Amino acid sequence: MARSRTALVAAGLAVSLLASGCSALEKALDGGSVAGDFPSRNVEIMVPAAPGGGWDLTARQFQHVIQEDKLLPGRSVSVVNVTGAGGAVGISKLVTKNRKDPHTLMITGLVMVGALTLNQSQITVSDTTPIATLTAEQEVIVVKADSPLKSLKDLVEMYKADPASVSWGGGTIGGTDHITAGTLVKAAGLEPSKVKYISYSGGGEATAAILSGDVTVGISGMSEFEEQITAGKMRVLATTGAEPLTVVGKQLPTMKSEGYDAEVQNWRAIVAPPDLPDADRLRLIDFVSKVNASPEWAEIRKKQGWTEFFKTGDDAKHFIADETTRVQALLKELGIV
Amino acid sequence: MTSLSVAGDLLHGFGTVLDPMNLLWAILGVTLGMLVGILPGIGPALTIALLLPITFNFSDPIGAFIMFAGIYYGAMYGGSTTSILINTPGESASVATAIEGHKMALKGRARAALATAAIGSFVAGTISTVLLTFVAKPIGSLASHFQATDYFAVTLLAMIAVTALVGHSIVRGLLSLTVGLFIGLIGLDSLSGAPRYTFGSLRLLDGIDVVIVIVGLFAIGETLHVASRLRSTPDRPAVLEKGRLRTGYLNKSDWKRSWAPWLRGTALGFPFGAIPSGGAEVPTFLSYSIERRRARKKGRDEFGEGAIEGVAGPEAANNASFSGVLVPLLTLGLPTSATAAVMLAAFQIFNVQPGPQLFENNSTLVWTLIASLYVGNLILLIMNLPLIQIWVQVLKVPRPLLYAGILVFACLGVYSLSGSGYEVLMALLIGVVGFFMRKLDFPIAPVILGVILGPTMEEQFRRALVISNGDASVFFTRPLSLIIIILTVLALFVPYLPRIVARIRGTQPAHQRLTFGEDD
Repeated sequence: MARSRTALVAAGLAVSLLASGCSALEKALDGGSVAGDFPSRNVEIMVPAAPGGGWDLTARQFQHVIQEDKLLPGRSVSVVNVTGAGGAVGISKLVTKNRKDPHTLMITGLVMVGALTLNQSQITVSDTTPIATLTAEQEVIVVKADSPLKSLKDLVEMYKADPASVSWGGGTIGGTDHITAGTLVKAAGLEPSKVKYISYSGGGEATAAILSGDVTVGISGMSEFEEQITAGKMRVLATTGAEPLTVVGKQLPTMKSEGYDAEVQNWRAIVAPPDLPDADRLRLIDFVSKVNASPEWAEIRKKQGWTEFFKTGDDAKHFIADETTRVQALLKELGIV
Repeated sequence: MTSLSVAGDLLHGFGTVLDPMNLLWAILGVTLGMLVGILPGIGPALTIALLLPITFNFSDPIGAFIMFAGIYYGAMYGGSTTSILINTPGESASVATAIEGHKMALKGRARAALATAAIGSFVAGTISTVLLTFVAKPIGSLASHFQATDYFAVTLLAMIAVTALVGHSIVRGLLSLTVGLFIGLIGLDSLSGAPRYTFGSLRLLDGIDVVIVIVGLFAIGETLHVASRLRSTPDRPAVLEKGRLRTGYLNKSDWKRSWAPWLRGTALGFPFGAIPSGGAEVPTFLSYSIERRRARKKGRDEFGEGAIEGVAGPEAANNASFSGVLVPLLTLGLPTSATAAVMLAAFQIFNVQPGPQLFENNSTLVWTLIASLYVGNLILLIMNLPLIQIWVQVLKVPRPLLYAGILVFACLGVYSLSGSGYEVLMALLIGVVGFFMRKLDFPIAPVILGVILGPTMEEQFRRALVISNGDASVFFTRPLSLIIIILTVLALFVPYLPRIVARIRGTQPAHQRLTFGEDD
């Protein structure tokens, strides 16, 4: 609060100075007190969601690595949760209140792209300054153990014969699980608008619905279903990443290996506010690269089941822009926006 | 499901609850419960709502739930004290106790009345906890077959049954429920992703947190209500007669007249708590009328002048109902009383989903909770018999101080939820609504039920229909759903049962209709 007020005061001062014609002084002020020289203040990582979720975990582990490896000597790094509307409250704060400030970073990801599209938000993730994508998590498509569906092909055939006979259970509407269902159907050359998607709040509820036979097929992150898969209560039809996963010594099929040319990764990224001076942007990329290269971070990724998914600067920017376009189009095809 | 594995699970639960820290939470919980039970106007629902934000920081939810359960049944014990001494029931489940209990106190038998209430509560609490121990898990495993249609039927049952019993007028109860349902609608629709009643505000997209509604309606609304009539409320606690030390609280004839009502009260309380039309008020009134009728048959009609049976029965019933309330709460995730509704919110906040998988996924939590009931009942018996003199002092706290304190804690609690003043303003606004509802005699509990059960009911209803491709017959073709829907229809008639029975017998009914108050 106090920090953003300082920024506001500084910005206000800058505007009035501009009006009086002292443009040189304004530039100095702009470069000096508000934006310049990362890291000249303590750093804040904003999580646009409640504590406990995937973004929160990413931010807190990121913070942990920075502290352990002393990557910000003499400065502290804190994690702040700004909840609301699938991240829309957080990103609008970053975009409107923290412009040019390299000391406020935000965690984002595929889920936010979907939520912003669904909320018909004027702001998109591309309005931020992408620093880097960090991690990716595969999705997994499962059925109850006694389901007649033995392979991904069986599922697609069932959908092809009668789309209304397949109920897809997963998390939030427009989220990664929903996007996965749409992507698969599209890759099979079928109509996504017929997807009967049932959203559940959280993996526990979805698990119960799959096991009671309420839904035909379930989609979620690997961690939600792993216990049931190991216990033999669920069967994996496919995972959604490029590399096949192994559970209890068995290599699982991917959408690609089953013959559907599609990939869905629940990626997460770290972004900075808009209009960042280029020097700061480069320093931030350098800083985040150091965190990513840390053995500590590799250890965390392994423990959490996150794949390394590191793209920086323009690569990250283009990736996020592509994902935004793809998700916006897909959600339209799914008929929810 | 063998009784041996139940014993093992329970033993494990005792192991956890006897951990010094957990024992401390149990003692704290029952003490707080006694306190709020004694204090008129502050019920267990409000207390748990106030404590909710504080417990967010607990690393382990077990302590929090031990405390919450302690508050719940501690209030059942405490409520009898004010009923008997000052004829002001501390909570609605003690209304029936006040009828005979206060008469006893006026006749100089307050000590005997308090003793039969405390011992009766202990007996009922212990028996019903044993029932809970053996019944909960089988029901839980049955519930894992629940599909969307069954969930819908169960929420419908809870909604209809509880609302039919709330307040003095069905119309007012339904209007309150509607307010709750409306609040529940605000936010992003989970199935279509469409925003509803958000007026373009990002803040409203996630809906209004149920804790804000609870704190607003109970804590802030009640405080405003009490403040508005502070000058006209008398509070003079009745004087407790000097006890005969060491010679016991109940004489031989008291024991003889109390034990059967205790058992009958237990038999009424547990099932009423367990069925979704439950709660504590119905069985306490039923128990009162049964005891009265039996006494009349025996030609010994002391009722109306301080009959000990009229205290023993209802007090046993309200305690037994608490263990009963835990059955649907733990196994189906269904709250059957306002306090249970707040506890459900607590479970969800700790990311523990009460319902089919609870006994599998959170076995330690459940069994520790159940074990804590045994321990807590024992603590309460000790607190109530020798220490009753101390509790009476609580009634002397000046009301302005008491309620000002509640208001401060309510605002702090809400602020700590989100760290934003927006939520506090929202709670205050809801508090003003709560004040007018109280003033105009609209029941509060249905609002909470609407906020909690409404979205679930809608979600499950629509899920069931989406899965069946819009075929509404699924609700009647699945046997489990059909049975529950038939129960729902029956529940609609339960409140009128005394009147119908009375009419058949050609007598004047004792109560026009069974009513169900707040704060149970």
